Amino acid sequence: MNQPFDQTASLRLINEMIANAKYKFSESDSYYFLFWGYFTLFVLVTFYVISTVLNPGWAHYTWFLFLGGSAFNILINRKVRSSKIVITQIDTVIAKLWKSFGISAIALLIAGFFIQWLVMPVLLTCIGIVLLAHGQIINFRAFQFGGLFCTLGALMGFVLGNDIRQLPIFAVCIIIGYIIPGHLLKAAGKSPGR
Amino acid sequence: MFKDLDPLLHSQLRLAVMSLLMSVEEADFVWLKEQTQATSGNLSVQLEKLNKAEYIQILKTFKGKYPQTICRKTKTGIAAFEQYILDLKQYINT
Repeated sequence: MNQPFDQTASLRLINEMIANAKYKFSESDSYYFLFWGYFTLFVLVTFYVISTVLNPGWAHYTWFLFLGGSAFNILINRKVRSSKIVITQIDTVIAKLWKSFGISAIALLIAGFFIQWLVMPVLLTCIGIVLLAHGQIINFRAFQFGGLFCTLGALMGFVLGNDIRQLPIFAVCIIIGYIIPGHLLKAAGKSPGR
Repeated sequence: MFKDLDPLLHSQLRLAVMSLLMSVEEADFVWLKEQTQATSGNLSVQLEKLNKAEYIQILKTFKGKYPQTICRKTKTGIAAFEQYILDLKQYINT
């Protein structure tokens, strides 16, 4: 494959190689969603237990568990990056998108001490935007649907205001936005015929 | 007057590698080998030529216990590839 060749063949080869290098999601891409989905559910249960059984004033400290989650996310990221044999521009765009969301989420979780339960619909709005964008970038409908569902959940949350019913809404949104699409992505990543 | 096509790129395997690298941020040697269906030896030789011309950057690292070779395009490589496409268009449009 190293002999000189003509101009038309050259152009055909370029097109063929560019088509080969198109983004294909892999099983490891689902790790982030499965981890954050189940971890968030765990945080929500902890939050519920503290606010109903213990002292409601302490409940917002539960958000700090996400800092531990972020540290674990770094480990997942290392594992995923090392498992990939190619990193496309789409991988980089998606990583930057979620990194930007992560920075906003930290600010929002601190804001939770001031805006109380309303932090959940604000977070859901951000999650909805990022999920919808992610779904459209990689053309994966489960994320697009999850993003729209989170936006709807955020709207319901704003209507409810400062109310503990924000918790089940948030939990359902996480299941539909992260956990189900995460499992679907894992299955799609395994399928050889993609 | 036609410009000569860059001889470094006007070779099937090197052009295939550059086209692949133009579409991704970085790629492992194994992936490049799979996509181009070249032999390891031939691919290594061609990668080294591209590296010498500073069209690509080769990083030798480890993936667990095993050595890993990662290739990335450079600014010189991008400029050369773009120029190659422009020159190629001239030939094709006549």
